[in-house]
Amino acid sequence: MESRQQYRWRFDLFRIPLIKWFVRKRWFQFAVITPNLAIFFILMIAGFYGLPVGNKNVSVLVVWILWWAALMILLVPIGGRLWCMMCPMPAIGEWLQRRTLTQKNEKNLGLGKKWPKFLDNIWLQNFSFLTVSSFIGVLTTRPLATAVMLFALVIVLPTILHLLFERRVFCRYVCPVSGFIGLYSMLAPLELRVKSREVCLKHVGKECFKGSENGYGCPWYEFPQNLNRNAYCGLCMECVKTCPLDNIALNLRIGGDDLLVEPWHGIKKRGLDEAFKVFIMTTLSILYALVFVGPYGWLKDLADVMGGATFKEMWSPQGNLLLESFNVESFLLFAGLVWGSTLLAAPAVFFAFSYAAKLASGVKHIPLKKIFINFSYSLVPLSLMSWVAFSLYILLVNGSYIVAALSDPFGWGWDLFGTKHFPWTPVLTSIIPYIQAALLIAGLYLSVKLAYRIAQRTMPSRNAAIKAAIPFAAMLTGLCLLYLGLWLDSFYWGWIAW
Amino acid sequence: MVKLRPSELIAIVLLGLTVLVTLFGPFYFDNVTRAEKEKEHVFYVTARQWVFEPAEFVVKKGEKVTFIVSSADVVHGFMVTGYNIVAVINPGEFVKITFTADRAGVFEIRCSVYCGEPLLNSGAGHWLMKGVLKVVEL
Amino acid sequence: MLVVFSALVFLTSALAFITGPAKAVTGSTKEFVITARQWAYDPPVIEVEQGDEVIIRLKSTDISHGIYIEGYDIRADLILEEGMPNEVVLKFVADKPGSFIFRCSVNCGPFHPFMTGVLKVNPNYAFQGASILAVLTGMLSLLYLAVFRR
Repeated sequence: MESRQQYRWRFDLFRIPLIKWFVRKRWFQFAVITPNLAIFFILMIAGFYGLPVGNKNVSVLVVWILWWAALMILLVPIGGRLWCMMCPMPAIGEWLQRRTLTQKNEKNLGLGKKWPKFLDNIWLQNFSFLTVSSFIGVLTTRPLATAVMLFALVIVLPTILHLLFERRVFCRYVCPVSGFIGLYSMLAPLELRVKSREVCLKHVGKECFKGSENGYGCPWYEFPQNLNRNAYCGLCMECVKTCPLDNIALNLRIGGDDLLVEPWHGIKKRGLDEAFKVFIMTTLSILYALVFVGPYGWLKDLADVMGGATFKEMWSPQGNLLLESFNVESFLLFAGLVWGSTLLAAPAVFFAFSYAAKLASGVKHIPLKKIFINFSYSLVPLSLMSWVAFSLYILLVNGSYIVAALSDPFGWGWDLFGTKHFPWTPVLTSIIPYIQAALLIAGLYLSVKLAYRIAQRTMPSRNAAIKAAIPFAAMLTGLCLLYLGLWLDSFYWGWIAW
Repeated sequence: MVKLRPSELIAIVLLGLTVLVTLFGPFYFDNVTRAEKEKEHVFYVTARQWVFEPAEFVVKKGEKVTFIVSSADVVHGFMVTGYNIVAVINPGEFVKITFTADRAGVFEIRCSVYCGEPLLNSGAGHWLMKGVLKVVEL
Repeated sequence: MLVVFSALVFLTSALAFITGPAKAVTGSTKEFVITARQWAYDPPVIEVEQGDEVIIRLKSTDISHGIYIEGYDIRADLILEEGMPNEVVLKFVADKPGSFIFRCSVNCGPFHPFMTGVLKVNPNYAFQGASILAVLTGMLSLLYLAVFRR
């Protein structure tokens, strides 16, 4: 059990007066959320009422290219849960729940139920992310689908949940985006921690969790005293306002043990939910690449679960061809592919390597489940690099669509900034493969290093640690070769061509 | 009644403005833009598989006519026989065609870029995608 | 750690220079007839040797399509205008080796941004080099960590 995380360097951003001042204001959250809420409203209007051409509609372009790339390349690897700080999704529900936009009220609106104990994990987030993924072919190509998703995630679901339950249950337990942001945020150089845990232990009030007249208790169900991982801290800064001892710090850091430690200093154990989240993200980075960038027409037809080819039997006599039919068979096949590969195939492969590691290390008393869970985190750096490679590629090849769409966000014939006729221009295509290779190999190194550090903490002796790390290093190398084959050999393996 | 601090009041006003601007602003702006264009006899046409919307246009002889044509799905063509107008309409693009209707009569508008058909060799789909321009004498 | 990270980035970028030099025309010509449909090409993968002259004849079975080859940055659009032939030709010399994705350059429906195929120009030095580098990184870094880091 550790009371201090290992760092090479740390700097408390709250030492900068402007940051400290801004974060302590009660209108801080409102100020950062409202612009994004405005943007999401515009995206919804564009999706519902705008041109149905996916690559000309800001709804699809901003959500699936700009926002996705911004999250994967910048916001998450560098800012951790920085997006969650400014995310508009829970806003309406939270404002209704608190009956205020900025103030601290004593009585909340709604039933204020406690979140059920058996759901105190991220399984729901795993399933919500897989559900979104099952429809990803339609979401990324039909603005209407994206608008419906935004409507459900911004207006409907969080509002219902926050009026039924207390705190931010949507963000902590349900939001599909929150799952992977939480996972990858553990690599980020930004963290919120207490300055001194000893000070917390002597303090009785615990306003950071319970709330005070200055603010609410942590809406994310975190307890700053024990906070040692970025995974579930949404950077909402309520604890900074309530702590009477000014004991909260927002650190920039090099080094950190988030992926190595148990949460809450060993009181709560890590479970299979997070391990499976790692498998989901790793496998989907391969699947998405195959579907969206690979030359497999049949796979794209499967993903296009609306069966929306232009000549369908659903062509109505009026000639309105946008009446597309939901193709049940194609949906079941694609969803089966998504859920099967992430929840069955990938864990099975990892299980085999975990077993090999247990055999190789020769330790009998450490349960296989513990090895399975602990080492699953070693995949995180490499899978993140794979997502960065994918998002960067999509951004560089198709990002120019956004420039044109900004002048005519709804496809109604406007030309606000004069860029309406900006041509589709893929940029840097000759060097993208090399950037991707560099990212992947760097990710491989970080993953192997992490696997070794995990081995050191899990195994009783150095000898056993090295022996246990070898199968995982081999697995990680194999995975990296798979990724390199995807991006540098462009998906062509003769036996699965066509 | 909860006591409202000034920051809360400002926040409420800002939120109200945000909602108004983002949810209703675009429609208002669009109405204003189109109303101005209508003064000059401008027709907005949307081509989609496999119709033109709208498909009938009536103008007086001698008037300056502008078509602003866009496509809602794939590449279409906009051809007005008799006036030698041929344009390729890319999805999302708005092509502006201005001419003077100096000849009276009934002119066929049709799609000049093959844009598919429900079944091969059915003769339907692209081949039936037509419209009509009526230029009437005063 | 930062040092190793940057070294790896540098090494991988160096790959770009090993594979860069263009080869002179080999004198051999390869012609392909690629048929486009919504939203795939047939054949989806075409393979040539470095230095070959490549002729691609693009046809379409349904609506207007196009072809754009990444890396080579060349493009040909096939707009099925009345009276125009249902074929467009793209000619170039495959002087850069590697694997290049080609994609549709004419807006052809919902999945247009994802309509792709692959042009493989052998030998794929970039992939071979990166693979070797990956294997070395994977195995050697473990060795390094086990020996030098307690």
